Amino acid sequence: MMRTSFAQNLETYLSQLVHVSNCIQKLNIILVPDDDERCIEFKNRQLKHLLSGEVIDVNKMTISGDEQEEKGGTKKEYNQIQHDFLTITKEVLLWSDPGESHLGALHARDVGCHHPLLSDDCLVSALELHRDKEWCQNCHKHNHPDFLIDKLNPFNCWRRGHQSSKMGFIHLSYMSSNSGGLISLKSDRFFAAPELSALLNHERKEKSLFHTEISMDSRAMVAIFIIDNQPLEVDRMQEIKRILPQQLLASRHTDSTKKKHTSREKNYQDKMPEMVNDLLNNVHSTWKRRGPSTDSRGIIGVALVNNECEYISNGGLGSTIDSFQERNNIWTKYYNSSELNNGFKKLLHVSNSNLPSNSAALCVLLDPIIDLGGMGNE
Amino acid sequence: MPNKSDGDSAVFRENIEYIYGIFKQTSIFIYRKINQFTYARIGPENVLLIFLILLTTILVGGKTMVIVGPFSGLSLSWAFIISLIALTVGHYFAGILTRDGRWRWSIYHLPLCLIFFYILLAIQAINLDRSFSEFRLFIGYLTILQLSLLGGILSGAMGSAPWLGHALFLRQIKPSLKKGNYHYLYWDEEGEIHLYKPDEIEPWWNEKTRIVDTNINNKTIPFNHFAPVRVDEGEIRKISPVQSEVDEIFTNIPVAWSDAMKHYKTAIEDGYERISWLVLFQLIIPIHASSLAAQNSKIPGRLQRVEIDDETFSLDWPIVQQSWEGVRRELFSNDINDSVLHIALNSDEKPEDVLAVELKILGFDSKNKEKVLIGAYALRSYTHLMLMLFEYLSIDISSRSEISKRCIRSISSWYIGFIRSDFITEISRYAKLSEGRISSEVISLNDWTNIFSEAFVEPSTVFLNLHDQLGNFISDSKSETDDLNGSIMNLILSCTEQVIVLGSRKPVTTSLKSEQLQLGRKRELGLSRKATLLTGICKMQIIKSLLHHHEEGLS
Repeated sequence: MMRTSFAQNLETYLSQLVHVSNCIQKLNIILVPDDDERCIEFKNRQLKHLLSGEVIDVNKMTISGDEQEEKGGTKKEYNQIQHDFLTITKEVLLWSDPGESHLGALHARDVGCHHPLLSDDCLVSALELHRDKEWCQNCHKHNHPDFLIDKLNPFNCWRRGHQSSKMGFIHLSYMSSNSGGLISLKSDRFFAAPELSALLNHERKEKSLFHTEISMDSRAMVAIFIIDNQPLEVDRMQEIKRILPQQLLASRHTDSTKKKHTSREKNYQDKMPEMVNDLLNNVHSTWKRRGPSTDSRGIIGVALVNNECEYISNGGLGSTIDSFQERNNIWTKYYNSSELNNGFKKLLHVSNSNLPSNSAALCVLLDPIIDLGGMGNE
Repeated sequence: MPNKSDGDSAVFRENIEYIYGIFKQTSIFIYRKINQFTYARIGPENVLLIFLILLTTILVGGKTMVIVGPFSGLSLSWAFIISLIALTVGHYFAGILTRDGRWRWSIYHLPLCLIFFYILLAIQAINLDRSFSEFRLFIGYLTILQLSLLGGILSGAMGSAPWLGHALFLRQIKPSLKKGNYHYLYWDEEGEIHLYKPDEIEPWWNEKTRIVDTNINNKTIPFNHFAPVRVDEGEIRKISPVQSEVDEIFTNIPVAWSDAMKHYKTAIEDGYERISWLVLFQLIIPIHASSLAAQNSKIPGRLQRVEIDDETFSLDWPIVQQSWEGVRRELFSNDINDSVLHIALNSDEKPEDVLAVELKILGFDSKNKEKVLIGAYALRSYTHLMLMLFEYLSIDISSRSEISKRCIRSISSWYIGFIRSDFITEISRYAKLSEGRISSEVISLNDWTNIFSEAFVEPSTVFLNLHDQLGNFISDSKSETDDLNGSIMNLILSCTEQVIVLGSRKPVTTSLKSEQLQLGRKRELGLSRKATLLTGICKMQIIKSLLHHHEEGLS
């Protein structure tokens, strides 16, 4: 039997993640990210403009300094033009209609921006949020999830909030030790809104994707990895040990097997931090590069939900997660499964059946940011 | 060693079999001839034949062979009155007397009885001397009545152009067709094509239906289901119409004869017209509709491959030039909302039933009824769409014509993939699961015209409406329709992306920056965008029609 290595599993997983991101990008053209009426109206108008070909490219309205020089202009003149253009665009924000479809004429407030630096007299357009302003790039540092108060997605804006639950997902996977003592990563279930689910299903056969299930509450983009600390052999040995006395039998091999398994378990636990580190780094870089938006920050938070797993309680993965948090300046938190509300666990599609005792769930919060311009921004 | 008697018996058996064969052939021939001599076909020749036989037997049996015949002692004045009345009735009611079954006894059964009676009289099997004089007089008056009636009918029938036309057609047109080595192409009501030699087809005027009919295998078929063709037996066995040659034959005969044969000529023209539409609906649109966009009177059209009695031929038939609506009103009488293929075939099947020819075109397994039905409805909607776009091609408004051409190209290539994809299977599975709540609909030609009249003005709005309706179908659906949802979502996205991609500006080189070229590109972009939007609308509209919900509707 061919054994697949963790690296191969990870590669497959990342390609699936990229495919999910591509599907979200496609859906972003036609679906509303927020169920606010203004957002629906904005998206409708935007789509109509895109279909009728009335796309205004703001970049074309200015010229670069080099072009200005080519035309015989001076640097001073160029700066003056730039200044005038910026003044005009700021002015546009003052008298723009909130139902306007162009991002340049939409105030950041109109798209639900809640960045701490946003004030009443601050004239920042939604277009600027997508370009020069770094608010969206660092907003996740100011807004954190909190599993204890059922807050999975801390954002309310149109870019990250996903109030419409159309483009979010929860991807459940398993990290466990196989019979050969190797750690495997396997996609299990994928929960998403009917639209995303439909699109993923369409290409399931040709791209050998996971089977998707419909979820009506998908406001965040979460990859959950169930870390199973109970290798299969242990379960089998426990079963044998239970049956043998019933049949008045005994075996001297059970103890040696136990020793063997203990060493295998130790081996598994030793390798786990390295694997998790690999996993987090790869997922982070992939989502940053190939996420639904060019502003995607990759992983914006990691939570570890422990269900009586001794290995985790003893800080088995703590250092790995902490070092990842330090490197990337993201939110991390450790929870016990019993602390979380059942409703919240249901939202995460985690229960005692898939998160039994002596296991943990590594919840990786992927940046849910999307571009409001859809294809029009490209 | 075989003895001599064995050899003789073998020769005897052979001779018997030979004679039996001749008898068999003769009896089949006679049987066919009798079959052809149906009541409905009592034409002038047949009436004349009965009249002459009756006259001969009267002359022989009634006058020369007896001393006291049926005409002895008849009152001249009564005989004159009866004769005059019968002549008048026969002349003016010739049509009714020959076509109405209730009166045919007067020109067929009664004369036969009289002929039989006079034959018996001629061979002196009966003697009227011993009979009552009243019976003799009755026979005499009856004979006068019968002769006058037949005479009247003959005089009336000779004035009836269709009857005369039949005789003229057989004597003037049929030999010319034979001489030209032409055949008749018969496109039956089930969409099957057959070839017949001119000898095998004998058209006749049907007074009852007032059209020209013909008989094949004891079945009466309208003659306008046939068209004379030339069959080239070369490397490519090509069948081509000989409409112009037939027109020439009609032109070369005297005007009076041509007028008498006008129904036959019209039937041939209608047959040609009908087959032209069938070529479009049955051969071109379902298989390679994109060729419609390349129609050009200067370039010969593409040959259509057809199977006739297990042999393959290439059909070289010119594309239709007339408007369907005009032809439909003139040639066919079906409901405007029926499938155009159903109308053109003159099919007797119910409009909602799947035709055998549709099943053959689709190539689906007939056991999967839901899939066959949905496939057939998709085919019908597509055929109607292509017909409408094809008719737009000839419209003078150049932009509409150009857009239609582009739509034909893109929709036809999409349809070929769509009908073979799992999409149809997924819809049929969904329809089955819905337990009757879902039933597919055919988009009629009228519906397409209405959709397009709106879509040409506001393509984005119509596109978005359909996009939203199909999007809502996905949002509201359940997990059992996962595959179907995937296909629908993919269709929506691909349609949307195709339009949006056209809006993205491509790098323009300095040489292309002239105002004129830019204007040209803008116009091109406008047409392309509109055509892509309309293509998307058509695709989504077809899918929507196949997912029609009884209660709420996808509207």
